[in-house]
Formats: sequence, structure tokens, C-alpha cells
Amino acid sequence: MTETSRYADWSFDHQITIESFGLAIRLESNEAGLLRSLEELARRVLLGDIKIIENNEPVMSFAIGVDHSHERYILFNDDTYSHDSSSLDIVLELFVRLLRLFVAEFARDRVFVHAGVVEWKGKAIVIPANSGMGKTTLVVEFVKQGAVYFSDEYAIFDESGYVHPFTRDLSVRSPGKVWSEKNGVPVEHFGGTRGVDPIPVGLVVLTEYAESSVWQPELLSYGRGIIEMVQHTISLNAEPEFSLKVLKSALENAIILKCLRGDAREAAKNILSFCDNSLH
Amino acid sequence: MNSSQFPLARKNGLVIQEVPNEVLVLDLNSNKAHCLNETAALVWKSCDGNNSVSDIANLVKASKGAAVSDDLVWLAIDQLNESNLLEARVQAPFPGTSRREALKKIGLASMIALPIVASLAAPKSAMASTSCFCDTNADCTLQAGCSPVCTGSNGSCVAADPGASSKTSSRS
Repeated sequence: MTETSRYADWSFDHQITIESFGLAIRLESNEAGLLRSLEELARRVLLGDIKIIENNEPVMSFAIGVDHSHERYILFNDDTYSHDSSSLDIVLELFVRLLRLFVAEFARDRVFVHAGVVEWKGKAIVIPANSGMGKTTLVVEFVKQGAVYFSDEYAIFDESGYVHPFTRDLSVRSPGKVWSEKNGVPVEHFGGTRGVDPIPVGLVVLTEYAESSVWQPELLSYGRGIIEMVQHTISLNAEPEFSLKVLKSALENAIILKCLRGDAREAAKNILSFCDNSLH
Repeated sequence: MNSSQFPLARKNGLVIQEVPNEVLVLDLNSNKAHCLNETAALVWKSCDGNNSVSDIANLVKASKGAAVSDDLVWLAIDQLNESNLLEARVQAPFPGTSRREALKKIGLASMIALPIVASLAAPKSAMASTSCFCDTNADCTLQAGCSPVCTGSNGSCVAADPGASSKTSSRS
């Protein structure tokens, strides 16, 4: 932290307010070029679901200040110091992560669940999992085997329980390399296509990687499936009743499986074969 | 058997959602989600502070059309206690017996499904968990509350000593 870490000490002359998923968010900077970068990043991260609005009472704000004398970039989140680095990339990446999580947690009329999602014959296969649990690896395998890409990060449900596509570039990571939003891989690179319209959930697979594991899925009850999903539901804190109601709608006609998985290619093959035999 | 106790279901700080044959309960105080199967849900709904354990057994019996023992109700109450879904803790009478043994004994004699309360932790605020993002060790030391070593593999701060506590950021 530096002496420039007090929000009140800054003059952020360049500001815009954006709206995304029903939330008004103010973006600020002391440099016009940096503000443009924030807006572009916001547009990319939220997949274009933003518009610039006139609003003096945003529910959240993000500001990045450039401190030339100390060669530092400082990120403020809701007028409070958040991060400070000599690397603009680091600060922008943290901004991206905070922005996306904020929208995921507080979005109006939507419930965000940490999950990979693909479409198979008109139904969504949802794989809820925390970060770093191999969602992207599995999603890539599904896509290679013909499934339509929906998301490698969030299942976004509307009030009726339909899943909406969130087709950002895939976060395929290389060992020893820090992943950031700007080096995501387009799904087309894997021969895939992106989902367009919201679809109902056909299958939920709660799975974890375990070396040499055999495909032996356990069928979960409707209620058990919902509380397993609750663990990954980002909006639960902000809107617990709405979130639970939406999950109930989303899983109403879904099959819910829990299992360990080995190799992602084999797991995707087993799951798609299960869908072919069980989803109508 | 202590049937003179009158368990009362907790209502405050809970979000309740019914699905066919199950009841889901979100405990906003403890950040836990519970799934009560039909038997556990029937017992819980009958815990109105006026019904004794024997009364509850009769209510469940009437609903399910099968004989229900007080022991089965106690088994449900024991789990409801543990999940903090009762206003006041009620001591379940399984002296000298583990719940597993009680389950076995009751299960063999029961005509209806044994009560089950499955519980899982619900997530805390996602915004609150995002911090300790780094490119170099200096980024870690500059952030209050973060461990000092930056891992290049995932760009988060971890403890230098594997035994020490660490506050790390999860990656998307």
C-alpha cells in the first residue's frame, strides 16, 4: 500500500456509468485512455451485456489511478483501496475478476452458478464445480465430441430455470503461465460453436477428477441435487430465496449424477452416451 | 425414552423450499444448506412445541399409513438437533448406543424410509474471497492479509511455509 491508497486523495476526472445484468456500475480513472480500457474490458468480460447510462447512484464503482511518481497503478473498489501494482496487466486482471464476480453475485433476475455448460441435443449439461477443478478441460472435450459451447465458467439461469449462454473465450491454462482474460482461447479453435438461445437443463453432473477412477455415477434425488448446486451458487448470499426458487425450476426435469471422473475425454464420452440413452 | 419433551422447529433465519418428497432448508445464520427427506421433513413439520415424540410418531404414521416407532422420530430429532433446525436442543435418548447402531436397529424394524438430513456448506460472498492476486512476490507483500509468495502457475499468493496459513485467491 502506498500513500496514494486513499480514494479521497485522487481526482478521477474521467467517469462513466455502465449497466450490466440490471446493475449500475461506475468506472473511473484519472486518465481518459485507461477509462476506455476499463470500458472495453467490461464489454469483453460481460460479453457485451453493458450499456452506458446516466446514473448518479451506481451500486458499485471501480477506479484505477495511475501514480506516475511511484510508477504504480492503484485499483479502488467501491471507493476503497483494493490493489496496487507496478503492472497494469495485474491491476486490470483483478478489476476483471472483481467486476465479473460482482455482477455474478448481484445480477438482477438471474442466478449465476460456477459451472461448465454445454448443449447436447437441445438440453443443457451442467457441470457445477469450483475454480480450478477442471471445468474448462471437460467442456473442451464435450465440444470436441460435438456439443455446443455455452460456458466454461458460469451457468446463468433465468427465473424459469433456463440456462443462458455465457460464451467467453475458454480459459485454457498453460503450466507455469498466469491465465488472464486476454489470452482465452475461442471455442472455434476446438472446432466448436457457441450457443445462442436459452435452453432447459437435461443433466447435472457433479464430478471431480480422481486418477484411475471408473465411471460409476450415483443418481441423486432432486433435493440433494439442488443443495449440491447451492454450494456453487454465487448469488446465494445476495438473493437466497430467489436463488433457491430458480434452482428448483432449473432442476425440475433434470437428471442429477454424482461421480468421480478420470480422463476428461473418457468422462465426456460416458456422459454424452448417458444423455443419448436417458434424455428425451 | 423421554417423550415428555416437545420439540419446536426453528423458523427464523431459514429459507425453506419444498420439492416433491423433500424439503430444502437454507440456514442464513450458519451458511448451510440442508435437504430433509420425506420422513425427516414430516417429523420437522410436526415439531410445533405442543406435540410430544409419541404424538409426532402418530402424525407420521397417519401420513404414511405405516407403523412408526418413537425411536424413528428420535432419530430424526437427533439429526435436526445436529443441523440446528430446532429452537432448543432436545436430548436424543440413545444411551450407550451410537447413532449408527440405532440406525441399524430402527432400520430393520421400520416400514418407512429412515429420516435423513443431508447438509452442505453454502458459499460465502464471492466478492469477499477475491484478493491476493499477483504476478510477483512484491504484489503479495503489498496486499494486507495475503501470504508472501506468488505462484506463477495460478497467480495467487501462498504461504512460504507449507505449514503456515495462507489466504489465496481462487481462479476462474
